[in-house]
Amino acid sequence: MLYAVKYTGPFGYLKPWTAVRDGETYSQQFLTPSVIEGMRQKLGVAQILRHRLSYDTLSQQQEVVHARAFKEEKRTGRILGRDRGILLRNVLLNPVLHLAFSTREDAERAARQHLCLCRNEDLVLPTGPIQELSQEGFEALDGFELHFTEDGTSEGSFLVGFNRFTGNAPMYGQLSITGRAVRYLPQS
Amino acid sequence: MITAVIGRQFLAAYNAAHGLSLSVAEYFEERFIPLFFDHPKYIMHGGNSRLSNPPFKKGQYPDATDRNKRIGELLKFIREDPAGSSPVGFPSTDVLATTSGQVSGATMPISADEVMLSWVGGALGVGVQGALSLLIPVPEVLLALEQGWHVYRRLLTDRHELRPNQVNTWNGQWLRSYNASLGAQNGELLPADAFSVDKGIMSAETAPWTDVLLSLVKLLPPTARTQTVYVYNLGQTNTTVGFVPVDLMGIRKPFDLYRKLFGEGEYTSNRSFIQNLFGSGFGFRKACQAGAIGTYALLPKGLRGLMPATKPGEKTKLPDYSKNDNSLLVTYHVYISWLLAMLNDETLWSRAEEAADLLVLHRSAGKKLSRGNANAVDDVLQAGNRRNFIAALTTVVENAPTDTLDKFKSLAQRVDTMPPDNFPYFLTLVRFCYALADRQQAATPA
Repeated sequence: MLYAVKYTGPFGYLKPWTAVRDGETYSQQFLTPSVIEGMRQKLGVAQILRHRLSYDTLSQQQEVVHARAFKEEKRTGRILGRDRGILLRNVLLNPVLHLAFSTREDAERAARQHLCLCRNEDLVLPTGPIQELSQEGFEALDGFELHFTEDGTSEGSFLVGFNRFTGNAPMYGQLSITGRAVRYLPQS
Repeated sequence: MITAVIGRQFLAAYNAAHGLSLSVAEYFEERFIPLFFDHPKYIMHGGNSRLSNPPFKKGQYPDATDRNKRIGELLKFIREDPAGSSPVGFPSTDVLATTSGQVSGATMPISADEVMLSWVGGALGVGVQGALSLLIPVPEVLLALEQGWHVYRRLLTDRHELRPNQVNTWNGQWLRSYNASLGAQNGELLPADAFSVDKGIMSAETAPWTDVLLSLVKLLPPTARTQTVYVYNLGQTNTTVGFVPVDLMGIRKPFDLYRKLFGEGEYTSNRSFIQNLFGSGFGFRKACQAGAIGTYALLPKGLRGLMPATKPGEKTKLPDYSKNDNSLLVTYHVYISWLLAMLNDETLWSRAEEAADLLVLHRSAGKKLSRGNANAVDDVLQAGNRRNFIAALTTVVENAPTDTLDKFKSLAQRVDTMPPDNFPYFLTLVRFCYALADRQQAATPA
């Protein structure tokens, strides 16, 4: 039996690990092992077993981004501020996240807290009662899910980043989609 | 980064296919660099690396001494300062760069091997229309692309007017016409629209994404269901669409349905027209917003205008079968194949035909000089949702002969139990059947 908590919010943005020099970037549709571990630590639960992420559509936002370092006038050492650039970020609109826990206690603890998906301004809040679901019941929920794999050798698995919680070890997974993972398809 | 991951997968496939055990450096220095850069015309741009920087004078190509020097400097740079050697698709090392805020605090592996592999992976990107490229982590695809590099090399050397540095665009054209059973093809077999000539300079054209994905479907075993590809664009700043699953069955289905419904012969004689129409509804970039690429992404251009309006009060045109125009007929066949693929239920085709026949019959049974029945039928065909459809059908039934009541009832039931998303597709099918049946009825003398 799985205990599932549903979280909803207005926006979500999950950065693909490959987005390092972007002028335009799309949110990832799934959670990676290190995101799940971060959420587990934040919620203070023993384990997050499964996830399902669905959303309305992607919405393009134009944002200002800053360089990492302050610029300095060479001669006088005066600080000139940070250079700015423009980034088009395609964020998830109205994301719905289901997390599955192994015990009712964990689910209850989780159902009283907010989460960030994944920037700290993109809050998702627990919605509705805790759902008791069988594996098949959880399987039937709409959304994207990354099934974590040990390495990149199994069928369809790919590198999804480096896990900051385990000494930057590579993370792998297989992506699955069920039902209406995206609620509004793009229109011509 | 991701290019290095693909480069590593390629090298493993290459070694396995040729019974070799080349190390990264061996492959890169002995095979890749000589093939790509040790010729006056490069296969790919050297980016910001020593290969292209300092830049060449316009229309001039590096001679043997210059190339030797540049290649030597690149290899030295890669060994001494891999991160700073302009690897393909890696972050900026400059903390003052405006994109530096996007670099993760988690350390990424940047070794000489990774950098060399990034060049190989960068050369494996498949360019598609919409200024995007695909990295396809399938050994068969990667090996096919490698064969294409050699053909491209020959063409670049032989054809003086051919523009260099277009490997990604070339890859798309190569994959589009690649046939596994033929193996390495001659460059002359590429389709006529693969190149364009402008002011005496010949360049490769970007391939349509549908063609590239259809080739991918052909290269994978028929049992394969989905394949995740990486969609991106590299430039001064990059575009990262990310990991996009491709529903292989969903890509194949409308094409298969077309052949099944309208015949292999018709399909073959109009192949390029049909392939270009599928997926023309919106660009690849927009299609990727659906999070996955499947049948929906193949939406043909112009079909929306023939679907029932979603806004109240708005009317849309019915398909027009009056013109005796082959390309229009093929277009309609494409629309019908796509609609049926979206509905994922072939029995709905005959259901739509039944419904259309009923409506045509009802319309012609109306009193002379009265538009009562015709208006009622129009309302059915213009219904934007299931509720309006059934309401409009009720008006029709009020004046319908008793022997057709059962048929109307079962149609209403079928529509009522249909998922709401499917309804517009089904009604569009009915509209197609209606337009055709109406046309045929008008053509037969009373």
